[in-house]
Amino acid sequence: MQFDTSSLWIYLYLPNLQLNIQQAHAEQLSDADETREIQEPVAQIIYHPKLNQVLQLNAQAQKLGIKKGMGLASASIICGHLVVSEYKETIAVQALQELANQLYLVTSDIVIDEPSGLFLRAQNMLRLYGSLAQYWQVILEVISKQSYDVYYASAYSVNVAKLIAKHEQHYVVDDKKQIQQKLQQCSLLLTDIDKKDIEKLQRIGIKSIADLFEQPLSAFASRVSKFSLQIMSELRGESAAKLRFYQPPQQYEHYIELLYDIELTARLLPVIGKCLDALEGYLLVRNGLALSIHITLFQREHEPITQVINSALPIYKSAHWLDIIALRFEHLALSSGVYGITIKCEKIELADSVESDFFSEKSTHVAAMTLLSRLKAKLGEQQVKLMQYHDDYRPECCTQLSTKIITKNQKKNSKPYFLDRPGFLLQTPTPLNIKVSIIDGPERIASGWWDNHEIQRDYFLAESHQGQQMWIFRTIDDNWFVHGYFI
Amino acid sequence: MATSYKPDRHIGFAELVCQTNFSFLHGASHPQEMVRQAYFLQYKAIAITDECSMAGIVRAYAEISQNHLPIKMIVGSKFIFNGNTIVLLCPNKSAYSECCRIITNARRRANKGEYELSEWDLKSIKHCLCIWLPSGDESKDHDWGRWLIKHYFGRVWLGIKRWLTANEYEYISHCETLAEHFSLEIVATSCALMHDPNRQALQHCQHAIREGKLIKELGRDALSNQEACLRPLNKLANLYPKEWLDNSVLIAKLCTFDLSELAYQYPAEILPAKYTPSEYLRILVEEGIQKRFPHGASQGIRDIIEKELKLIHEQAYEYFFLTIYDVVQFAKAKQILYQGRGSAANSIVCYCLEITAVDPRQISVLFERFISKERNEPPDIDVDFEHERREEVIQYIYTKYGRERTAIAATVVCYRFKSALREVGKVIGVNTTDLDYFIKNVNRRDRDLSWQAQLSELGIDPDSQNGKHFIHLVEQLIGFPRHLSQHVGGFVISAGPLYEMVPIENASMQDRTVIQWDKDDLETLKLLKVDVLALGMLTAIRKSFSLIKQYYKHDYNIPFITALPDDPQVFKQIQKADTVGVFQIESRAQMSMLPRLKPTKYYDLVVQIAIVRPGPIQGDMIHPYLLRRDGKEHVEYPSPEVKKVLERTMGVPIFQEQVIQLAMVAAGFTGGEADGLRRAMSSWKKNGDLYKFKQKLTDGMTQRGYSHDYAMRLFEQICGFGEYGFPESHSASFAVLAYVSAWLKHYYPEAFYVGLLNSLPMGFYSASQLIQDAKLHHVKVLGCCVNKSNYDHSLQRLNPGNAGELGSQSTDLSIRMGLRLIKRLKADSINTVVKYRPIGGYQSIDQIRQLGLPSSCLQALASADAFSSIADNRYQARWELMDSVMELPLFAQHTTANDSYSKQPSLFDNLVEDYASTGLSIDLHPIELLSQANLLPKFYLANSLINVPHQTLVSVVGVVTGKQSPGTAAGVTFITLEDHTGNINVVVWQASAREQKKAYMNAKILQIKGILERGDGDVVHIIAGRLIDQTHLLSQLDTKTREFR
Repeated sequence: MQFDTSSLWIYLYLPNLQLNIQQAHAEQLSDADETREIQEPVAQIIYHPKLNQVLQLNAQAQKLGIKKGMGLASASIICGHLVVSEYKETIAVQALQELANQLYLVTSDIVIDEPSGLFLRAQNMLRLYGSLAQYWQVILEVISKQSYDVYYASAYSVNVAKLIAKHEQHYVVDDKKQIQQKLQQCSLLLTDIDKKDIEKLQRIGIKSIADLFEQPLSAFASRVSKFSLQIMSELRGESAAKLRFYQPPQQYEHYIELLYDIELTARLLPVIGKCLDALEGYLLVRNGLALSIHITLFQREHEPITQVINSALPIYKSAHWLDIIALRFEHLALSSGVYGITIKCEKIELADSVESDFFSEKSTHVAAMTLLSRLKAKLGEQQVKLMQYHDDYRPECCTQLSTKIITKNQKKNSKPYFLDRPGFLLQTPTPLNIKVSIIDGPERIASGWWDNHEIQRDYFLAESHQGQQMWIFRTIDDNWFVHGYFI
Repeated sequence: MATSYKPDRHIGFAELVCQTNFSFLHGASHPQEMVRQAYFLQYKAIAITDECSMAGIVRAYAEISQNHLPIKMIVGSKFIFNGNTIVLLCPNKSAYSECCRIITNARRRANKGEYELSEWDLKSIKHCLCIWLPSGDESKDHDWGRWLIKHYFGRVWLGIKRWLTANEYEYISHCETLAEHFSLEIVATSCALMHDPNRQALQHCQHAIREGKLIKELGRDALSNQEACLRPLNKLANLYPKEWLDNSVLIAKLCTFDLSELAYQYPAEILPAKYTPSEYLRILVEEGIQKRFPHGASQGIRDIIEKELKLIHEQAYEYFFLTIYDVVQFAKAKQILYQGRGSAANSIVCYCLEITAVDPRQISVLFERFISKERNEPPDIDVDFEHERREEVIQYIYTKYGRERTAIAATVVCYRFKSALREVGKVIGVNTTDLDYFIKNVNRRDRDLSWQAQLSELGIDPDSQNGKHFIHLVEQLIGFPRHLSQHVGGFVISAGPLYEMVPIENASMQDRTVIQWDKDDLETLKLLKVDVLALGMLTAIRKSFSLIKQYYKHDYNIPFITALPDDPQVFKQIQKADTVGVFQIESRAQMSMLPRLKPTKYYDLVVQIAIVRPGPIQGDMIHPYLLRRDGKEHVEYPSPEVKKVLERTMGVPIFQEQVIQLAMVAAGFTGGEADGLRRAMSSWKKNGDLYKFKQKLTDGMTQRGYSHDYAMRLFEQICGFGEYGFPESHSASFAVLAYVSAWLKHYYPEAFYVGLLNSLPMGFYSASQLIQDAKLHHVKVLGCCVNKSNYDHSLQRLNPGNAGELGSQSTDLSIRMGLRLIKRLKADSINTVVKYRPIGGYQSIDQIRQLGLPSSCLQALASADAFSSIADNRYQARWELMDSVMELPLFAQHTTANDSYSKQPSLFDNLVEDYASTGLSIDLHPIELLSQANLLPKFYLANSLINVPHQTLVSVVGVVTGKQSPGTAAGVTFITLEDHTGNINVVVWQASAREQKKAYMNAKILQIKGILERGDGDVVHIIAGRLIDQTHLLSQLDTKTREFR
């Protein structure tokens, strides 16, 4: 969308997001752990391995002489005990989205400028808040909830606001003259102009915005790239940028107040059913499905109870949800009467993404998944585990229980199981104390040195006098054990 | 190794399938370990059968022959063809030749590191024995069995391995059925990948590296147990029927081929048909005597020549000398400068054959010092050629002898600390950022802390299971071969096809092939190689010679200059350490030693070059040498024999040859042992083999009446020498080039600098430093110009028609920078500019633009101010060039720019542009500018330090041009600062550097406050106290110079 150049914009520049988040996290940990002694602050950097550059650094690191853009080798020579974290753009982008989400409650037009900035259009909020100062006060309150390093600037062009903010300024005014003055002092290096063009310009002596403005824009028309020319023109306020506004993610949340308090969970179910019908309608319209919903029960004299209900398959029908909820509620005891219920669905899955091959084993899959959802609802998420195959020589490592669900692709990739291993494997081998005769073997397994479960055994196929075939092994110190039975 | 191992006497076994670590990332033991273990387990024989490779066999052979191990080694190779595995063993030399041939074919067809066998290759094998290892696939094995019976009837066996895996009996009975069906005998094998079961973890690790997975992800692809190793006979007797084991011994008995049978034959074409090699060599030497000694050789020299020729004849080295003679004759004809060096190169025979220019009259050559029968080492002659023209020599060798008969020796690239740490770390699951961090933080030069200890300081717990595995695997992997690469220039030339002697494979460089053996392997087998090396200084000297010929009309060559008497003027310059750009003695360490050593003759330079090396420095040989030479310390020799060896270096062993000779005369080493010592010295950091000689040396010396103390000191010195010990035979040749370059610098500085600048990159110094030095020597330097410069740097006469005189102080020649100096300017663009230059020069930028050069090239010319003769300044030129409209054909005739540009570059801008475009500034120096702008605190200039007394507190400022912390100087950093009057040497102690890391690491312009120290021979150093980073002043300069405008 393109905007006129008379709107006032504010740019929030957050250059150290990943570092700030990690610092906040570390502080929380040390607050929790009071026994810890107060230590010297450590030098901490965020490092980009591909560029081999330090991108963010804390005050301690700065003090020692580490600089942005330095390589890891030089940085670690300066400081031997450096805390190095790898740069991950997703961390910053996620933080920006969260911040935008919070700001969305107080201001409408937000643009995320990945990976370290936000544009706010102040112009259309001024009437609502009365003045820029009041509006800014509200925005500041939201921002200051997070302990991020933040710089900001306002201007009548998005690029100007961004450029001034990137000079690490705290500068929100609406006076055009002042803004213009500030702009003139800015360095060319921090603009979005093509790096190549910046170098060219510098090498004809154009180093600041003031130098740039000395020449008419038309003089550059045949001398720099189209993109750079566009930026220059925006900086001069002669054209406007194209931006895409932030849209908060879709989520469903619905609260109903009961006419009277309900104390029995069984009685709650029909009411919840009504709410789920509304959810069903909501999902149906959007062609959506849900994997998980939150139900919060507000109790008259006690804290509210929140239950997360998961389904192994994405579903939308209220009846299906109600089945699962009924199982979960069997164990739920209310402390006092419930006066209100919230149903929330944070993430909506698209129905189209579900695979629907006519000949696939869909029906059995659906049945199994439904059963899984119900078991989990009844017994608890952590109580339901599935067998999984693991490629390893050690028999005890071959099958593992896991709460995760294996996807179809993973299943395809796994190798066929050993043919000569018993169908029934003992969880712990038992000492062999009957006479047996050896039919086949040995298979020597000496493996697993890497994960501290090293074994060294000779496995044999043996038969007891009763004709029972079993899988036995001998350890290195000549002890014999039974590990399984062939059925 | 335990000695209690007693196998059953009746069991005999030979391991016929065994892969070493030369089956890269498969085998987990060195070939030496394999044969040693096989001997320990009392195998009758062991075959080394790496996959499509003979790269490991010589090492195994050397291990057996050096230690006289009573075990037979069989040569063979494993191949996988269409999923079928066979092992070919070589019973005799013909079999070996055909095996090498098919390896060569298979390797040459595929990319480096891979092979592609064809059915035809296997069909052409007529002598090799074959062991078939069936795949287990019923129909495939039947087909392949039929094929084998058809083509290998009577010499194929079916090999069965038992690794105690699941379902093994099924596989064995399948094999037995096959054997019965095809009437084949079965032979037992372990298909060993390791010499010892404990290598399983390392094998897993290599496997994971190969697959690019984590070890734990290998799953059932990995070895399930430790059975793929050399196993004791008792165990084998339990696993296999006796008949199968006996068969292995029977096959081994059929194999009689020994690597010592490989006799080397030189190509015959270098010898005219009517002569024997001896006769022809003598004729050439006689011809050489006429040239080299025009007034006749003295009787003494005659005697030495006779002695040398006799020795050459006895050792049958004539072909070797003749081959090198042939190569250098080619170079001479093509006017490519060259210089021979190495143990045999400095003989008078080589002087007469024009292989070297070292005049025997200037160095009291004892030929045996360089080549000796007792030492039994092969003669070593390396020939250096001009680095820009070596390829011509290589191509000559290829065309003359053909690619079938010539190839370059390999270099075995091994895992070193960093690569081992990285690869092991990756497969055990350490994340890459951590690995980078470890690698960058471990200081391998720290002699107090081992890398293991440093890793634990960096956060790896050495007691944890994972930490232990990590460290242990890295330890084991270091020194494992990784791939074969190409030796710098060692050629092997043979009479017949080379691939019948050693397999040849592709190198990564196009059209290059390497043999599968490296130089040590060649030495072991007494095969000779010709080293064709590249040397930048020879290029520079040749270019200087031709400039002198052009501008001064003097035709010089290296032998002419060396034949002149030692020139005191030249040595005076060397003594002042005025040696920037002079071969070998230009490094900071060499320069600081020159005023102390004060060389006055050629042999002093030989010593100087060898003594300022890590070896002699670590062995603490410099100080005693200086004291004794200055007569401050008395020299005593424990015996006349020792005196003979050490007299020429004041009783201090400086050269590698002296150490070897000492071991022979003082400790009674035999020739073979001394040769072993020499090899151990060259690789002792890698394997620590040197310690094996300690006892022998000290015992030998004490028995011969030397004190234990003296013996220990000698051993310490040998260790210090380590791999850095420098042979006199090389130093002697280098000293010639050092002298010639110093001579040129003294008498023809303009030609000397241009020669050097046109041969870059080479040597220690950048163009900027060389030009700075030229200016200090009052040589006028002119900048790049589209109308005056050529591609190369050139000499230009200010007043044409005035020829310079030898030694005249002021010539009217100046150096004009060539356009090659400009960064990002392509050679063909430069050639276009030069080629189409009108007689009166270009008149406008547009004229140049019409040449159709890419715009980046035009920009580069503008930055270098090469348009200065036709544009006001570089901003104006650039502004004009930036306009893309002018590039359109319609506007091509439109000559005047429609808009003018008013910005003027400041001095600072010009300085920045100069550095950015050419890496140097001819007219401006940052320190000069800063000082003119009054931005610098009070400081001493480099040229004023000479008058400052010892122990004065001084402050100096300069651009940091060099920072070295050599391993020999514990923790000390040598920083070189440059201002517009010269260089300043600063010494920074570790503590100062640590405290002031910020300035130490980052400063580009550094101020040092410290104490001036004046050492022997007036060497001036500043011992740094405070380091102040003044780089920020440059930006102030920017605004300052703007204000001046």
